Amino acid sequence: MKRLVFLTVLAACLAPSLAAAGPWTKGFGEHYVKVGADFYATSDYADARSADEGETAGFDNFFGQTYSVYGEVGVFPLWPIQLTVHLPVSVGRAVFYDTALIGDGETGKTQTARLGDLRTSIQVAILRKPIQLGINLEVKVPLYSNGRVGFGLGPYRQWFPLPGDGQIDVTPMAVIGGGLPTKVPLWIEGGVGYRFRTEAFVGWETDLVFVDGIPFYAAVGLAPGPVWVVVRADGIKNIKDDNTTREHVTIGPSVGVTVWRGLAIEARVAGDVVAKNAPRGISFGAGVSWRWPNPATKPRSE
Amino acid sequence: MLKATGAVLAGTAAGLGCDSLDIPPPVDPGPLPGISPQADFYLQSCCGTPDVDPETFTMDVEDADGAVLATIDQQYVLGLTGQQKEHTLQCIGSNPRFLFVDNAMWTGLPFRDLLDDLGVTVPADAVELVFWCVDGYDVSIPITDLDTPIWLVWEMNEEPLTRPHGAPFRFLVPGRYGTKNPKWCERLVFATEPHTGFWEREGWSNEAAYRPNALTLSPAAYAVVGEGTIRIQGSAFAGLDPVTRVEWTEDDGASWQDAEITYTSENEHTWRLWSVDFTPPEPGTYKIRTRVTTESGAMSADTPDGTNRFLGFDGGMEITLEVT
Repeated sequence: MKRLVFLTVLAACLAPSLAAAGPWTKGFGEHYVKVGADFYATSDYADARSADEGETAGFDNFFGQTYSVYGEVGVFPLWPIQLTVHLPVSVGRAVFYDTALIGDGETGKTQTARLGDLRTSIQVAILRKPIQLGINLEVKVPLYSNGRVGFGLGPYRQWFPLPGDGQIDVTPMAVIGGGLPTKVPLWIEGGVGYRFRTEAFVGWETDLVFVDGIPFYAAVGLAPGPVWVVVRADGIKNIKDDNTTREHVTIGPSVGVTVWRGLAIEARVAGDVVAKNAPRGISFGAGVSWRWPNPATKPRSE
Repeated sequence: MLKATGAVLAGTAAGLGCDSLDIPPPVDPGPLPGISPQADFYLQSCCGTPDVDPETFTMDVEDADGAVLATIDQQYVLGLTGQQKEHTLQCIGSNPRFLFVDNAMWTGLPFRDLLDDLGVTVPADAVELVFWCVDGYDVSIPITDLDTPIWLVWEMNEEPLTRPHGAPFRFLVPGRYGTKNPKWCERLVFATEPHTGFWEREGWSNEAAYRPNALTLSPAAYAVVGEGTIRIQGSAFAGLDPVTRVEWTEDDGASWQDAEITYTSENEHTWRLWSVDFTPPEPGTYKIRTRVTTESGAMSADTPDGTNRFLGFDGGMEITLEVT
């Protein structure tokens, strides 16, 4: 069971916490598209239970890659309402040891490549002035079948990273933010929501039970000219004590630079500062984005 | 698409996506040693290794009312002339996935001898010995086990016990799985009422009596090998009932052949090691299963995974060889 939990939370680390775009809900025709690559590495698993001494099987390290397309578009002409889509392809690579399968002192490597969790959301602006306030509803739908991962590889099957937990989740979230009256364009934003675990699994049968959680994020951004810098923290807190469901707080900076009109290059790095039932690792990513209208012509304070 | 690299080519299509596996080919370790080095001896405990200082650690021997009858520490046991005892330990949770069985030469004394030396008289109304351990573990055995006899040991293979193995001393209880062989005991109580211990509260057998079983220790449970002869080796053990025969089958029990016994001992409560030189006739998948017979005529269950794990593994382990 522990190994299965590990596999699912590894997969979760490859995925963003939310597809929510922030509180600036897009007006009709406005859009943002990003193609990105994210990488996650860990060799440290924070288990709520004590480690089994002398354990003869386990993960040595894990490296995950996610390649994704992310888009936001305003879809309603009379009031800001936007749709958001995040479509990832994940590649998880694990190094494991298993005395019974491959002998003492040896390690094996597994790799799983799949479409990941499709995250779609709809966001409605509630307030636009003096602050931005929106309500976002995200649905996560697995596009893979955990029951097929490692199929045909006998007992090694248990060591293949799973693309995700295979469960459909629904997450409503309130997002808020606004510009600050500073000489240099500075803004803050944040959000808090509730993740309903539907217990509806796609593509596999499992006894795992995940508990609902409170996802949250906070960010502060600075945009002097075509360059912007954001420091963001996000995470999720389970609503009750649990030995299965991932809890974490991840924090890190990102930077972007507009290179031509709405075309920008973005990069980020983040680390898990709190982890329960989860690996504690670092992630970094890069992407190319297109935003219209160009934020340089549309101050964040609006 | 499914891809395997390195030593492995196995499996079938895995649906929309790509899985790959890379594992090293099995290495023949040569003949397995009958005596396991302490560094290789399996480790298992309920709650990790406690921060015990062997030089200051003490164990109180108490009656049921909590009165301390004697205190044992490292200085005391090192002043004794210990005896050598060969003894096999196996975890009750051992199975084809957890090969927790080893054999060693221990230095210690029957615990009753220590009680006599300390002038401790076993209370007449005591029914069990209850071990309360510093790591939070607790377990009990019948008082009659004193005469099995149980041992207190402080060396393994003529080396002081390391902390993970129970330093400064631990108990050996013949006939009962490792759950009944506690480490880091700080209070030993002559109990007048039956006690349910840590693992027993989780459903594991309170009797924890060894059952005949065979584990394949080399190669791994699922190995990919080239053509040619491969040496298959393992352990066979049944506690106080010596194993006298180990057999193997490659045709799901239609026929059985004797394995070669490569390690045996005149000492009671010791494992047997066995070996089979298997030459697959052609590439393919082969399943090699074993079974054991003991001196009393008891046999392991003819199921690779055993019958009831909470009673301890009683199967004849099966391995799969993918011959390429």
